[in-house]
Amino acid sequence: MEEGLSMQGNLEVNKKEGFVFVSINPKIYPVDVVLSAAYVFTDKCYVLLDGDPKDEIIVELRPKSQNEDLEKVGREFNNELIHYANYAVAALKNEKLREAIVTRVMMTNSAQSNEAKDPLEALKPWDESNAESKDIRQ
Amino acid sequence: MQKVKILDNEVIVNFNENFYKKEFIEQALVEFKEVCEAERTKEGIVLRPKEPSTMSLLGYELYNYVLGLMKNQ
Repeated sequence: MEEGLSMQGNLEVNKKEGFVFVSINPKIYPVDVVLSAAYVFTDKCYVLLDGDPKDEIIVELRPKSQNEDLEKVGREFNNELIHYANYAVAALKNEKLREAIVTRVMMTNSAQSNEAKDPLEALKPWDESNAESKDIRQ
Repeated sequence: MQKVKILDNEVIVNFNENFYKKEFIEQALVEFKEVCEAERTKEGIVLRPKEPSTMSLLGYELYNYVLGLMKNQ
């Protein structure tokens, strides 16, 4: 192997050129998960995507600072992939629940707005409007 | 194909359009007009920076910028 190159799992570290390639199976991590993880890394790395989204996605990570441990950067990226993959799975599982909650909130808001006959009624502070309807000060 | 190729006074950038949508690349090039001139050639997108000191990082900054545009959309 060429000097300065090393392979660790799905990582190919090129110390000489200052980057690490991360090889990703798109059947495990879809493109949108990879994009989310990649975006997070743009703070401390230059991120370049390549490969084939149906076969193998290759992410090139070039740290902006020169003293970064390239293998560590690659491993952190792997962790970020897991984080976003987990998020995507949870989002899918909770999709129907979220829709039900939003629908309920919209229905509740709609019912409340129908009750106010005076458009300015809703603007009155709670204490004043309650005091006028029922004398609760006693 | 090399994704970022740095030459004497220009940088040639190639985007894999399986991942980077054309419209975001175009939008990024418009927004980079202040720092460089851009031209599409058969070799790729040729960037000519207005400030030579930015040469080495210009292509990589463009990559990150396009990714940011795609993510924020």
